[in-house]
Amino acid sequence: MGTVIVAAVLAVWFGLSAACQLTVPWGERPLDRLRARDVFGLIPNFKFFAPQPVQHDFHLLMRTVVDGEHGPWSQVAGPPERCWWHVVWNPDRRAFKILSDVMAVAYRFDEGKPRAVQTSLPYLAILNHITDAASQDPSASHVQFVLAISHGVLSTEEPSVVYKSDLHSLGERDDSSERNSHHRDRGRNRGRHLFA
Amino acid sequence: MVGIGVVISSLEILARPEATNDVSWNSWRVLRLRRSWSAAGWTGRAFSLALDHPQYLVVIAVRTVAAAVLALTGPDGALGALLLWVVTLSLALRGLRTPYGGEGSDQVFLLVCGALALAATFGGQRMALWFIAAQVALSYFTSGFAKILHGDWRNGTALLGVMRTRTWGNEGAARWLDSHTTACRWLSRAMISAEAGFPLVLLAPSWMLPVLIGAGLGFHLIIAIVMGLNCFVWAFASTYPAVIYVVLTRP
Repeated sequence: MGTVIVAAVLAVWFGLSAACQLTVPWGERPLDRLRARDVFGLIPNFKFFAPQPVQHDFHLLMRTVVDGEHGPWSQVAGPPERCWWHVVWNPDRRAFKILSDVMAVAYRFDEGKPRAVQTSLPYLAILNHITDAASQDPSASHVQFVLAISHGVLSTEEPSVVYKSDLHSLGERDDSSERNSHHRDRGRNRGRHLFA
Repeated sequence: MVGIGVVISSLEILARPEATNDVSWNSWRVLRLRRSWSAAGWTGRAFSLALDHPQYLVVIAVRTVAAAVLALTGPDGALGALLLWVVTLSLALRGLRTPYGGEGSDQVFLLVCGALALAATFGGQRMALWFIAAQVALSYFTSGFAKILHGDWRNGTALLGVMRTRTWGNEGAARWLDSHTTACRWLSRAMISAEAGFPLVLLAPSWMLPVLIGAGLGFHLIIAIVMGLNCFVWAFASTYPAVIYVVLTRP
């Protein structure tokens, strides 16, 4: 009996895996619903780097506003440097892949729908990180971020901005003497209060 | 091999705890908003116990230990089954936690460990091996066929485009491919043809196995060197024993 159960489970698992690799106009909606319900990621996506691979690098930049003045843009995250030991050990690839995937979704932001963009998961994920990074500067009142792409090692094409956020307030703050000593913790709280 | 691969991939997550904490772009406090049942209620609280920071790192640490024991002792017996379930459930939780940052190697680890866990618990080891071999054939075929359909892969520009990136590419390889456009085109065609044709390995005579498996390992090793995708080597190598089993025992 156990063997029959295993056979049935594995047959269904393989069948769904094979079906979800298809890209067919008449079957996309049912397959999309199926993928949406695959909350544990049991159904694989085997289209590695296909059909159209990403041929640019993502960069996340931010700037703060201090006393009403915009500060310079600084890079928060970009592609990690490649090292020879990455053939066996490459933790930065995994960490940056998360941000690349977030930005690959953000890349398609419809700027004509700012409310939908600003409540989307990729936007919130980036904003969560950016507000914390900006909070390192206790005098900063606002933060703004940019998603940019560069075109690789052989390209002469200039990096380009694909999305620029609105300015986001970092929240109220007082001028007490404790401000500097506690700004880090308060900054974290400001970054988190949106989501807690 | 799957144990070693899971250990490496898990240690890579543990080595960068800042990539999963509450102020990262991979914060569970944000990602849980994806679904109402993971954001609130008793289900939200239950999943947060395992997926919030820093508990999630504990889950990864447990997975690391389980995979290490599996690598040392093998998947036999009740302990082996338990460890396989620990690894499988932990990998499935990753899928629940985030839609971002997953790799093909994670998917293969989940398929292999899930099938082996089912077989170790309920029986049906041969079916599990057939399942793994079928999945790996599907993965190569899907990857190759999806590229064959795209002109940029057939003429080599997609291969060069990927190699030019700092994220997945390699400057030396990009420069060589850029100055050898004919070789780039034929290398791309050879790669995608080999991927799409991989299911034929299951029909190949057994004496060809060492060459074909060696070619597969070489392919993933080159990708690890050039692209830094180190975990793919372990993930796909862990499926090859199932491929060998199917070829040697097929009717």
